[in-house]
Amino acid sequence: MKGFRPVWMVARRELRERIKSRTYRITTVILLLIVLGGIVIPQVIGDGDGTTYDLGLVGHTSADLLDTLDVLAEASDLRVDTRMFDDIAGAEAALEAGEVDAVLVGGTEYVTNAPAITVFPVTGGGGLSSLVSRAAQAIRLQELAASAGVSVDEIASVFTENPLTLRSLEPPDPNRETNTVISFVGLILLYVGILSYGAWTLNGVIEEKTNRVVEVLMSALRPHQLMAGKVLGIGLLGVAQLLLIVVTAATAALAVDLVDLPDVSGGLIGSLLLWFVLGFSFFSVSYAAVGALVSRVEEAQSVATPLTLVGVAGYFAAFAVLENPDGVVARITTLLPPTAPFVVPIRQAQGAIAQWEYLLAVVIMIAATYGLIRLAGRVYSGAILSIGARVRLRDAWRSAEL
Amino acid sequence: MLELRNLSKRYGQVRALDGASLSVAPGRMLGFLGPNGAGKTTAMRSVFGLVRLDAGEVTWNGVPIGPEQRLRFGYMPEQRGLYPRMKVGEQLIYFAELHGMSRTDAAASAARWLATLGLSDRTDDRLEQLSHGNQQRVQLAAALVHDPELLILDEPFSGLDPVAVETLADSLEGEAAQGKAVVFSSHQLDLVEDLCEDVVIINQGRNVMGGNVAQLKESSPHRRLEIDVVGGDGAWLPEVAGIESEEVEGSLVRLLVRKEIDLEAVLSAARSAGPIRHFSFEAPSLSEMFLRAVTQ
Repeated sequence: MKGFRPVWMVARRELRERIKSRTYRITTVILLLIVLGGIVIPQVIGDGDGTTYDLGLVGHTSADLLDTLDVLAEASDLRVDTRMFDDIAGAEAALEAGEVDAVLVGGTEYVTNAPAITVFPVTGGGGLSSLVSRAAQAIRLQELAASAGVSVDEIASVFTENPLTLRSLEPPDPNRETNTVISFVGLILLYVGILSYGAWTLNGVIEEKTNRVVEVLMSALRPHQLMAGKVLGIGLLGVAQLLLIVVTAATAALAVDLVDLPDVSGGLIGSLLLWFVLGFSFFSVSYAAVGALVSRVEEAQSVATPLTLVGVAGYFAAFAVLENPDGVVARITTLLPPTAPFVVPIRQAQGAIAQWEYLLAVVIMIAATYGLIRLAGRVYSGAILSIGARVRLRDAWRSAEL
Repeated sequence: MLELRNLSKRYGQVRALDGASLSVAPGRMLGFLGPNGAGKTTAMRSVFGLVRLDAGEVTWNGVPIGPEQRLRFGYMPEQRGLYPRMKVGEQLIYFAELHGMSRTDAAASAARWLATLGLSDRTDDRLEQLSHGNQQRVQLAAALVHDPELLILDEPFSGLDPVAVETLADSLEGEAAQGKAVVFSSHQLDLVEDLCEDVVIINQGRNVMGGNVAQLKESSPHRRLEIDVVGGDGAWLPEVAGIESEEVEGSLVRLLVRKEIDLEAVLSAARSAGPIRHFSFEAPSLSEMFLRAVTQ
C-alpha cells in the first residue's frame, strides 16, 4: 500500500487507543486542574483575607476624616471597619487581643501595637496607618486651602492632571505584559508537552518491540510508515490536549478578569502552536529512533537521557533569553533546532525578534526536521526488528534497508 | 506459487541458511520441518523482507516479492505478538485495514474469523484478558483476516491443547481447499503427516528431504515390520538378509527392515513358532524418516 493511507491508519490507531487509555484522561484532567488552579485560586485568595481592617475609635472622630478614610480605602481595594470604645484602656486591650488593627484616639492620636519607630509604622496595621495618615493629611490640606481661599476642586485638579508630557524612546506596547505571561505559560506547556509526548513515542516504539507485534506490523508496513504514523498520531493527540488547555485557560482567565481578550495576541498563540508542532516533530522523531535501539522499556531511560538533556537545555536557554531577548545567546539559540522551539516564542512575546529571524528559524527548523526524519527513519529501519541486546547506533545505520 | 531458491544467510559465524529451497503452489499445504536452529524461521521471515538475505531468491508467481505482494500474504511469526491492551475485534480490523481492506470488509472478515475460531463472545475483550490458547487463535486470525493468498505460519500448533489443534488444523485445511498456498513449520510430525501432502525437511540451513509425503514414504528403502506370535519370544526370527534393527517386547517383535526383505521367509518362520496374532508391514512414519534424515 502506498501513500498516506497506511500512515494515517497507524496514526488513527494511536489516537483511538491513547484517548481511551486511563493515563491520557487522567493526565489531561490533572493538567487542566493545574492550569485552572493557577488562574482562579490567586483571584479567590486575593479577594478575601487581609483587605479588611478593623479600626478602634475612642472619643470624637470627625465624620469628614472617616468619610475620607473610606474613599481612600476603596481606591486601594481595601475596607476599613470601625468599632467604638468607651475608654482608651478598653481599646488598648482589644488591640492587644488582636481584635482591632489600630486605635484612633479623638481623631488625633493613632495607636498601634507595632513598635512606633517611625511616624508610619510599616508592620502590624501599617497599611492601615498609612491610610489613616493620608486621610488626616487630606483633611488638613482642605482646611489650609479653605483658609487660603483655594477651592477643594482646584487642589484635586493638581493631583489628577499630569503636569508633564510623557515621551518614551520605545513605542508603548500595551500587550507586552500579557504576552510575556502567555509566552511564559506557553513555554512551560511546550516543554512539558514536547518532552512528555516524546516519551510516549519512545515507549510506544519500545512496547511494539517488547510485545513483538512489530514483526506482524512489518509484514504489512514499511518502517518509515510505522514511524511517521506513530509520531503523527501522538502529535495530533498532543495538539488536541494543548488546545484544550489553552482554550480552558483563556476562558478561565477572561472569566476572572485576569486579561482582556483584545490583549491576548492571537498571533502569539498561533505561533506557540506552530512551534509546538515543529518542536514535537523534531524531538519525537528522535525519540522514535532511539526507542528502536532497545527492546525493553527498562532500557528506555538510558537511550533517551541525552535527548531529554537537549530538551532541558533548550528550556533553560529560553529563561536566559527571557532576561535578555536581544542578546547573542538569544540570536544563536533562535537558529538552533533543539532550542528554537523554546526560545523563539519568548523572543516574539518580548517583541525582540525580527521578522527575517523568525522566518529563518522556521525554515531551519523544518529543514532540520526533514533531515532528521530521513536519518531517524534509517536508524529505525535498521534497529526495529532486532530483538534482544541493545543495538548500536552504527549497526542500525548500516543494516538499514533503504 | 511461492518459491524460495538457494537462500543463504550468515549471522556472524553461524550459517542460518545455506542453500535452502522450497516451493508451494496454490491449494497446497506444505509442512516445513527441521530441528531447532535448522533455519526455518529465517527462511519464513525472508518472505516478508524481515531478514536481509546474503543470497537467494524469494519469488511469488515468478516475481521477486515486494511490499505490494506482501499485503496479500498472511504471517504468524514464531514470536507471537499483538497489542495486549487492544480489543480483540478492533485489533483484527486494524490488521485487515493495514493490508488494504476497507473498514466494512475488515469488520465483516474479523467477525467471521472470530466466529470460526469460537471467539465471537470475546470480541470486545482486551487481548491480555484471553488465555494463552485463545490469544494464539487471535494471532492466527490476524494472519488470516485479510483473506491472504499465501499463509506462512511459524509453529502455529505449539502450545495448543488437542481441541485447539483440531480447530486450527480444520481452518488450515479449509484455507488450502479454497486455493490458498499454506506453509507451516511444526515439530508435531504426526500432525504434519495427517495434514500435509508435501513436506520439506531442512537441517543446518540445507534441504535434506522433500516432496510428496506418500511418495517419500513409498520410496523409503525401509519398512516397519511387526509380528506378534502367541507364546513366542522372538527366538523364532530367521536369519534373513535385510533386517536392520530388532526390538522384542514380550511376544511382539518390531523390526526395521529393507523394503526388499524376503517377507515369505519371515512369515513362515513365525507361523511355525505359533499362531500369529498381529502382522504389519508398513512404510516408516514421517517421524522416523525425519529422524533418519537429520541425524545422518
